[in-house]
Amino acid sequence: MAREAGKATTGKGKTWRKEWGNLGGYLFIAPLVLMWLIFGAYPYFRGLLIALQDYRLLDAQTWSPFNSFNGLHNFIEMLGDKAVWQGIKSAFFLYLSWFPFTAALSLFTAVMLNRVKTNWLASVYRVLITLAWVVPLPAAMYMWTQIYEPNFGYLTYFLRDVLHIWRHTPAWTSDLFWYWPAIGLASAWKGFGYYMLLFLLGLYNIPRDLYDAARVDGANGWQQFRYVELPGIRNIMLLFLVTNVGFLGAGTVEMMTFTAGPGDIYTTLALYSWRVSFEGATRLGYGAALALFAGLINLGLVTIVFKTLRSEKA
Amino acid sequence: MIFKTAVARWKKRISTWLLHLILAMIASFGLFPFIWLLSSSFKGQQELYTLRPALIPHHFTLINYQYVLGGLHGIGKAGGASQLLILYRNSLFVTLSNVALTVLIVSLAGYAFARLRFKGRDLIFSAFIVIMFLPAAGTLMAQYELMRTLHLRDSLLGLILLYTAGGGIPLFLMRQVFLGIPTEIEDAAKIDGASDLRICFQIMVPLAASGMVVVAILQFVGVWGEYLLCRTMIDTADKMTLPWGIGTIIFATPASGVTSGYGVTATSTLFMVVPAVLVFILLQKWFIRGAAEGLKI
Repeated sequence: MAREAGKATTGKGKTWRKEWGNLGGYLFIAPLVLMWLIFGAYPYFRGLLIALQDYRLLDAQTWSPFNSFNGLHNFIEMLGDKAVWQGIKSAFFLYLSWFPFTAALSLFTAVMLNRVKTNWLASVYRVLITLAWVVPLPAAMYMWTQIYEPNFGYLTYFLRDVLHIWRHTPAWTSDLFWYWPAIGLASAWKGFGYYMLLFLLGLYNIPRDLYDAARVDGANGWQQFRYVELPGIRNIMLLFLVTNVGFLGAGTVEMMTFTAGPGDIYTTLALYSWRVSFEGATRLGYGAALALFAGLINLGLVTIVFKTLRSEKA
Repeated sequence: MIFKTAVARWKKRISTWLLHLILAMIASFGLFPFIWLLSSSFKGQQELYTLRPALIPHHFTLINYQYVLGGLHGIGKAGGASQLLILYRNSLFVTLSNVALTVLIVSLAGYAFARLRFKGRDLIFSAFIVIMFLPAAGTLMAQYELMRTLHLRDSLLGLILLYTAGGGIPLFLMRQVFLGIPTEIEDAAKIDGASDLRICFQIMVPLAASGMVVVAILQFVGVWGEYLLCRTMIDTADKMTLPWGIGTIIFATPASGVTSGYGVTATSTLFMVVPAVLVFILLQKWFIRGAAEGLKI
């Protein structure tokens, strides 16, 4: 990597080149950096400021931070807002309904798939299982709402008339309890293929001789998993946990397309933040404050998980 | 001795069969919603609203397709009808432009971050990575304001630009790929007097092709299915992309008559799913290879 750029070509401007390096590099990164500065970094910081404003889309007077700066007022209002607490609770339920199942299923599938010795068969399984990942989230949710249709959907039919185990099935998506398993299964279906692929790629990267050594030592299937594969994909597991522990910002698109429970009572915090911002009174400032709050809690969770898991390694 | 080996062989055979049984079950869980969707799209009103839905329709009908693609005379005019084609065109335009733009600028930047030495290089790169881990906060709200100010709200161009801005993960991947290419190849070209731009495009890009395919697929899948930004930015029905616009077709379909909301939902959803699935199936070999490279952590 270290390539003393320009050393051979420039004689006089040696010190100048040494300090700035290859100026062409700036041209190479310019398009990406500019795009990112304008459409990513700037809105990010502007968003932090909006959270401190009483910004209302319908009232142009409030757009400028000089007119509508109201300090931490949005955050104080949040404390007394019942929808916020309901939103946190819903986000947590949503997380519980999809995450543990997805994690277990994707890891299990990856380990199983890694044991398939026939190459073409392995890639057939791989494609079939990963297919759901490429489906747009709204499409996945529409697909599942059709399966969950309480009278004519396949799930009801399957449980009632094929398996004969459940005569009076609930109205899945509009049932207070069954809403959660329903959205959880749909989200798990959408997500597990991707995580499976992640774990599988991790397993593919484990050196073959580790397996051979384990086999020579007479390790059985479980021991191979416990002592070769699990340590081998440690970093991937860490990545998986860290990227998924932030549960508070989730559920917006899922619930917009799947329904947010009967009468929208399961609106998560993120969805509430979006609705506050872009519907009704369109209070962008309050919405941004809610989003910032969710983001900070997520950051805290990520930090805790990252620190604990990394220190475990040592 | 012979008995022992026979037992061992059977044990192995049984565990192999068990393995395939489990995987087949998981694969059918993954596949079932697709099959259900396909089967629903070929069903007419009577067969959709039945208490005993069949997986293979008894009376194949193309009525849902007719409605979704062309509109039915007398019914379709007011509703979605050929609206799907407009959404399709928008989605293709936005997604393909974004994929091309992203692959181009991310490859350039990835090459520079991996191979060219210039002041502040590592600092800029870590800024990209750090901002990926910052909590999202009010970015969406500020993007709304920005696009309104630039008069790019409610326009496809604005959407493309916004999608291209989130280049953190693709950049990381491309840099990883370029770092993995041996330096000797490049040095040889350098000695022959090739410029950085020529090295990047004529030598490095072909070697980094698998990484670019990964970026392209990730971007295609991401943008093709993106819902929230589109819903926030686009108000006009004719400028919507599929994920957001399809809701308008679904809810605008007639509830009674020859076509049904149910069948039209299934068919339009199917149309939304197919391109992403095709892209993935066609490129999955490349994808696995490239991703395995990029994931060596």
